[in-house]
Amino acid sequence: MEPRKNGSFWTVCFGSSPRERQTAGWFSVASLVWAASWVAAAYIFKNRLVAAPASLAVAAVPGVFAVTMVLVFMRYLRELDELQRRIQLGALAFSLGATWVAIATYPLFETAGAPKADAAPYIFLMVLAYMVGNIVAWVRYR
Amino acid sequence: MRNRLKVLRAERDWTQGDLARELAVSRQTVNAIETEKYDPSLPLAFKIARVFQLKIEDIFIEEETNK
Repeated sequence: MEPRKNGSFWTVCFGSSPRERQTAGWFSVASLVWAASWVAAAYIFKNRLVAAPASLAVAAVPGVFAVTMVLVFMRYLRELDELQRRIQLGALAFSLGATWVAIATYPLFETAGAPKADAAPYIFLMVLAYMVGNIVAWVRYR
Repeated sequence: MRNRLKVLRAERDWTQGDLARELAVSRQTVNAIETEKYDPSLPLAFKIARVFQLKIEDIFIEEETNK
């Protein structure tokens, strides 16, 4: 293990060993591939480029990449040391809590006349809250 | 919980990186323990004690017993 410069945002939140950084890199790649596949699938359906049964395969592809992304993230968590794991737990708990509050609350606003929300804003909120959780940990432990 | 990690490390002329390698943790973890922002788990505390060849209570000092 070759620790990096002390206290940087990246090392505090995402690990310092080459192995940790490599797995974090793979997680980033898996996330981008999933996002790209989701956008591509949405584009294909919006423009009616495929018909059943091929459309079922198009719908399944982002799901496969999403599962891959989760598996890579779990591997990444296993490779972290105890403080970094604690940081990730805090960020994930904040992300889950913020998303749960939004999912439980916003439908009431929709009933009251607010614009309808699909899954995208909730996913965005989940990612944003996860990043905020990591930034808070960085400030605390740098 | 207070600790003497920084003093013990300095006595041996080790960097945080050296100690991090010995403990197989990140340098940030060593730094967080030294600055008392984070209390290590029991297995890591035992590992630290083993590296310094001391007892855990010679390194980590509970706040109340220190008064």
